[in-house]
Amino acid sequence: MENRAEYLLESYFANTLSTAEATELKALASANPSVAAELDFQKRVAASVQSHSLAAGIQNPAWRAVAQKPASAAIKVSMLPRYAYAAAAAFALLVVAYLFIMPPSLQSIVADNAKEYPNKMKFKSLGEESMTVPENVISAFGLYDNQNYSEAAKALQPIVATNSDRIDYRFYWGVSLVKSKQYAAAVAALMPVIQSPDEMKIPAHYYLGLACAGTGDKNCARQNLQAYLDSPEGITFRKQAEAVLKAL
Amino acid sequence: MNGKQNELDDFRKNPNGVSVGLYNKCRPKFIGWGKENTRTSSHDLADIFQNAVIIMMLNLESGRLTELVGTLCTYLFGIGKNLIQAFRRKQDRIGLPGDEAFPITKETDLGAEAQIIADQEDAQLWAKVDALGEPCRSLLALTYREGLNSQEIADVLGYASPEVVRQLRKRCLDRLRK
Repeated sequence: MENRAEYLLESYFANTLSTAEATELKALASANPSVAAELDFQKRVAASVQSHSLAAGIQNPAWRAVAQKPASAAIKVSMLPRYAYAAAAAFALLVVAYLFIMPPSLQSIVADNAKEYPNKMKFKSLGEESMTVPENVISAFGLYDNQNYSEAAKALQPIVATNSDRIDYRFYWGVSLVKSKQYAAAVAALMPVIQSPDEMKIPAHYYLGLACAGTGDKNCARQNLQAYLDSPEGITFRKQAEAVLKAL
Repeated sequence: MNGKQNELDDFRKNPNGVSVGLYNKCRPKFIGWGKENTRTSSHDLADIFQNAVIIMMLNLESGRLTELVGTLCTYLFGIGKNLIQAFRRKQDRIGLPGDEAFPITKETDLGAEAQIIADQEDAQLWAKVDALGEPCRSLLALTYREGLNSQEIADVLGYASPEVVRQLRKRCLDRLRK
């Protein structure tokens, strides 16, 4: 690749591009497929490293522990003299605010972090399901797709009861119960999913963790959220799982 | 062996004790300096200092840092200043025309299904980056996550010149493509 393109690419990722250079790189990428491919590849590398700490590269476990040390204590000490009055005022404000606004409950934190799970049932895509799908199943998943989770949970319950071998149906039933805040029922629905070898097992840990937190069973919530985070496939809901885990 | 060299040996023997000293004495100085000389918040400066400590450990572990010219705190200041420069640029970055999907964040709403696929692709690529080991992992993270240019990376990782960094990054990316 031309040196100019390499220079522009480096400048792009180092955020040193001028407006004229940005236009030049855009034109170069449009005219030259190898530049466009290189830009795209490096963007993908950039996206992949975003959520990973530099500390991941430290091999020595004791050093890695030091690298993850919470960074708050020393700041508070050093900033205290300068900000003592501001801190006192902020504290007074917080006390007043507390009288009017209750802190968020665990259940509201759970609800805020209960993300949708996309319907991945094959019959959703035309032509991928050879067997005939019963009308009541199509209808129940229609409710799920429309995010009418309370009705979806009601519709899926008898389907799960008559299809005890279908872990996938059970999983979506559990998700519907979590999304409609029926946490105790969701725990019962999802428990068999995490005990199964089904591919739904990993996301089921996340939803079961939420359901347990919703019922106040913190041990169960911690175990399942941690199991989700420990899994290499536990990616999509990582931020939410960490937020609930932190609140426990 | 002089006192500065002892700081590195002390860290190897007692990382907790030395790091407590750094956090209690060096970090407030760094944050104070940063607030006075750059438009950067205390919170961001604390994160930057943390990254400087991590880079120091990576350099020590990989053998790139074997002796100190000044104190350990001075060394961290040197790394931190480069990180602040890159951080400030990131705040004021210029994207490509029509390139709304950039800057590189995961905030862009792709829709749940597309997001899942994108996350999985990111995770697979990260696994390959991780497997490259040092120095590629640090070099790629500093380039694409922290936004350092080749000169800054040469400064913080202790390479002789920006050209050395460019060649090394090219080799790392070539290995990643395979």
